[in-house]
Amino acid sequence: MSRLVADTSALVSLGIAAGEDPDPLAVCTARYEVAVPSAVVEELETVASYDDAHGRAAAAVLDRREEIAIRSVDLDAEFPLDDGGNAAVTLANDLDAALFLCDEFTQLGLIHASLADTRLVTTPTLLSVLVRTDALSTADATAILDANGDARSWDSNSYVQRARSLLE
Amino acid sequence: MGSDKKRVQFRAPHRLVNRTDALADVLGEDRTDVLITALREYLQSATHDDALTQEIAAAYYDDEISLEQLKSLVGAEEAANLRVLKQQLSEDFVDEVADA
Repeated sequence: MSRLVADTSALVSLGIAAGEDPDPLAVCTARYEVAVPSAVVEELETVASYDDAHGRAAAAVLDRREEIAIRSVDLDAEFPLDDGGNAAVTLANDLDAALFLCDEFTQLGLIHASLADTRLVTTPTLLSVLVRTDALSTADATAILDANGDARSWDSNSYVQRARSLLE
Repeated sequence: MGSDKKRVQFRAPHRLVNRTDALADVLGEDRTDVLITALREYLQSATHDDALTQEIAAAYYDDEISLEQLKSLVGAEEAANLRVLKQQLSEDFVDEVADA
């Protein structure tokens, strides 16, 4: 099974539609061995304390943390990202993971440049991949993207608009 | 910006040119200085407008502008982010990830 390392932003995306059928996190852990650094779990705990859609999403992911491999890593102090992103990139490189799932759109250039042999994917692209591999229907993937669009103000983002058409 | 300059010609409404000249007189500059300042400030503010940045990104995703043009509008760092996002939209990329 291919390994996928996720950062906090991406896990929140998967958690936004938690409890729906199909559940995006369950679909993801069925197809990939999902690993995160403990710094990401700590960030999720902070986000889970917020009383909003992001907080509920983070709490839903934490409720299912037994499906995720949690690893501790040493931070690269030179790397200009917050601790969760920093640790997740380090973990992806340490594990030589196939995929790094990240929705920090404003830092993708830096993260892309920091990954050795790991492919960077965003949640909209992962949803396309899951449709392509018949793990999700177009309708289910669109519903997950819609839920994220509402929660994260993604709808005016031209990347997300185009990613939506890739689901069809 | 360096001394390398490109000559451009354009027609503009009389009233706008007259106001430009009047301001140039007040500032002790010439018309070109005022126009360059106005253009620079417009480009600076326009490319920091979220809606316009999304239009610029869309033009890049649709191959209407090049990576070099994108860099000149939004800077190297943001261009690097948008380059990664454009790659995410490629059918070939999705196929490669599907095989991973």
